Amino acid sequence: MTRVAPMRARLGQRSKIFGLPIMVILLALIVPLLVRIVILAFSNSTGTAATLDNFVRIWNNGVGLQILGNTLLYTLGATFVAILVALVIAIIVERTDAPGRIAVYAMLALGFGVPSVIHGIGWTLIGGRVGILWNIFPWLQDVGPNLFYSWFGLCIVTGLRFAPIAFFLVAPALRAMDPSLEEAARVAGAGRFRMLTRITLGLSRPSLLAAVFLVGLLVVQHFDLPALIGTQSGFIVLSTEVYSLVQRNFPDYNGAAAYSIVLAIVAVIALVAYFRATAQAKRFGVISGKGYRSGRVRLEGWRIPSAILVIVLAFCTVVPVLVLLWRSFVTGNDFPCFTTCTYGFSNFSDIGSTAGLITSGVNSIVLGLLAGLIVVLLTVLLSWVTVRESNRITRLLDQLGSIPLVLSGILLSLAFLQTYAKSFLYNSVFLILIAYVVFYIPFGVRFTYSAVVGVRGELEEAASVAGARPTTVFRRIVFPLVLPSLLTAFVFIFLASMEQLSLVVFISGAGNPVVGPEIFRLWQTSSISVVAAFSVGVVLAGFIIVGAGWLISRLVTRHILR
Amino acid sequence: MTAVLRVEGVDKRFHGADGGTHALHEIGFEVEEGEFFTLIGPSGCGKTTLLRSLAGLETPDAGLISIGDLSVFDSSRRLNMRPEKRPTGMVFQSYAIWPHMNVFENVAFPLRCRPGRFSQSDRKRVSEILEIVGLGGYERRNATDLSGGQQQRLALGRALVGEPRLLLLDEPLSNLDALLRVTMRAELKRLQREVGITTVYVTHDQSEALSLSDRIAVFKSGQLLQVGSPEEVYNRPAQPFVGEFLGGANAFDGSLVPSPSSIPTGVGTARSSGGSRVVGTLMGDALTPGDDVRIVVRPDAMQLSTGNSSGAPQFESDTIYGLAATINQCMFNGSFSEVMVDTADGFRLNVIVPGTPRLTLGDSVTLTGSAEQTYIYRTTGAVA
Repeated sequence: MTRVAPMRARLGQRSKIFGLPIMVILLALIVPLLVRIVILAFSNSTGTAATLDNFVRIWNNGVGLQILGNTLLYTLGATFVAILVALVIAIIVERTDAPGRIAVYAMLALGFGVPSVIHGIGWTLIGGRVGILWNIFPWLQDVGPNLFYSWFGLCIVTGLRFAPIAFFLVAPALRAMDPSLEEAARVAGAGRFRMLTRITLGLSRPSLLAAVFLVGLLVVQHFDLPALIGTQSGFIVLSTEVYSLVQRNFPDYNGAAAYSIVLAIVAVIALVAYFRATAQAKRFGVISGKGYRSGRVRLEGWRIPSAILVIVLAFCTVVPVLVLLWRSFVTGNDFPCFTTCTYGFSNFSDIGSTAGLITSGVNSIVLGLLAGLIVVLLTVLLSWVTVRESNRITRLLDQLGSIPLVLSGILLSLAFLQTYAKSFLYNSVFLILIAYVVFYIPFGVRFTYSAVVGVRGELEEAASVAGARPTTVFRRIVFPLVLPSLLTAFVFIFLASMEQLSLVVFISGAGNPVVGPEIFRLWQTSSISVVAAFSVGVVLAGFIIVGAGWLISRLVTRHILR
Repeated sequence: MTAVLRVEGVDKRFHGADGGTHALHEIGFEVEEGEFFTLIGPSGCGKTTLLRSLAGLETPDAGLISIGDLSVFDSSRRLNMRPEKRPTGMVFQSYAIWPHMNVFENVAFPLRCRPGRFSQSDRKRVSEILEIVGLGGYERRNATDLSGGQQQRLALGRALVGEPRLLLLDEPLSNLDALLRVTMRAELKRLQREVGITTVYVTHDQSEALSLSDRIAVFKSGQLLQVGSPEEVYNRPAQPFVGEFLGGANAFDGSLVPSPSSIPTGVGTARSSGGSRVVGTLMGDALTPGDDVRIVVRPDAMQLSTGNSSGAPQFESDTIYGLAATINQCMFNGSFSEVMVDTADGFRLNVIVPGTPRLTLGDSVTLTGSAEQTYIYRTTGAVA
């Protein structure tokens, strides 16, 4: 036998042309932040010596353990509420013939797209000290507000905020389910309820588990609602503790870094569980996805009650937005006011006269669009390289692409503050843009990876054999085919970046305002009238841009893809 | 005649957790100008890996591949030309029609990938090719709106438009329904002859291979077992497997016994491991009595007769043998029936009987075979 020359030790063309530069970019973006936060957590306040003291402090004072416990309780409670609400809505909307599907979808989309900080402020108008609820039910005046600001209220509010996200995670699996599996249960003698719980729910278990862990991951890192509601009653979680350590008169950056590393470790646990659940989802071969639609369960007498149930639940996810809308037109500070309200546009005209608000709106929109564009382009190339080639570079890219998933917004904010405080980027919109890009890379990867996997390898090979260079294969074949998914990812990242508070809370200021921190600051100085009007404006602007994006994407897909 | 494709010592292993597989065992052959050359074998035999190596989509570990005067792969010089540089056109099993381009753009793509602007003559060339493959007038049609057969033609047009030296076809008919497959087979043959292009065709369907090819290469487990014309590989299979795969031949073990001196040269007598006498053509030299052999006979090469339960020695001669058997199963198949029998010496054989025989399960029958259509091979360890 002839001596075999090792032909395969070479890197693929895609890794060479795209993989290496992307790897360099990601390393340059992520590594300094990680190094900075780890150094902070393991050094003393002057940065002169390595120490474990920051962690020992957490462990030794009772507060640290209580915060950890609070975080776990909060994550469990809020995730439970979110999944329960989402599941009830999803099963009734996707698997039964109950009416009102479009209304439910519209409300959930609204709830999904509205920033958390706006949800939170809306809820304080409903359940806070002078909330609408206690106006309607005055006999609850004493216990109501306390309950609202406690763990219980925080979990309900957070759960309702994340319910639309959980819904959009579980609904596709339920919709794609082969109804013959359910019909088989009916033929086997199961009643409607037993079929829905044993078969429908059972079959969607993998995607349900994935949703549980993903929502859990989002909740454990969540900052906005605990900051708006939890801190009022002293219910402190890891993310809000990091914030308060940094916001003190004498900031404890080392302690904050240590807490944020603990938070990252908790997130890693949720993430590992999530990856295991999704791996299982791939093996669950029951969901055929052939798109039959016929087999919805006939609810008969239960149709209307079921419809009312889902509409009420979906309404609960948007009620804070509607209250803010109402509040935005009420002039003066007398609220709630059922009969005595005076209405006008003065709150809206106050937006212009409040320093920084208009700028923050423009910044948020422009930075969101840019971040969406950059992340989508970066991650579609990353996904393409990792899907099609397997070598050391693609394996590293894979890992680099998911690292930010366990870095909570508050951790990254601290890391950006500490890494770039002395650089020219500090106080500039570019720093915020970089933060958005780093934070949304994992989300971009998720969207683009599945899109690229959907492009059959033979389509690319046919182009190669036809004489196309790798860059041409990408430009002429891959890119046009995944373009619809890229637009979806782009819109998602744009909307999500508008919602950012924790990620930019330490690095956005007078020089580079964006809407999240502006609303948060304004609300803390209790100008609720302007906050309400500005929030309404932000939501409106967001939806106008998403609507325009949707129109453009329809035109683009029609003209490029035909 | 000159060789358009030259393959020498092409070897490839896939490395895996289970120790990997030896996908290609030092394969070598040449394909002449204008030839229709078929690679056939069961799935996993390496035929597709080889085809993809010709296109540059797969990299062999060792060997040499040249197309025309162009060396496209040479492990000794560490040369591995990228797919886009090789003078090949390829039709994929799934056709790989780009759904976001219309019919014209799909075919125009290979020309657009060339340096220089897409010219008026390129435009003419595309229309010409569409005409040749029977898609004239479909230019503006959405590629995904075409039927299976039309997509097939489109893929063929796209592979031919750049005037490659070598056309590679990867099971192009396997996605069509049975009727269309027969029509497209004829169409493919006509096109190939008209265009005169050298073609390498991969299939696992023996009737496609036999009817289309000038020559056939039979593969098994990464090894090239036999190369020859359809008549050669069908009528003189070099190994038992070739006979079993092309034509679904029966095979059973036995050993060679001394033959009477009256027997023609090249014919030998064997005794099956169950004890029956069989005569057949000796495949391979220096087979001597006492050798373990494998006996191969096609289902259509034996006659089945009823009404005699004694083993029918009356037909036997130096070149004719008879086997007593009972009917196990009989499947009517239209113009013929497939009959499964159990021989008295313990083998299960398939026999094809024309028409509609009156057979009942358990009937005693006699199978008669001839030395001409029965092949005797020395049993080898390597290739069963």
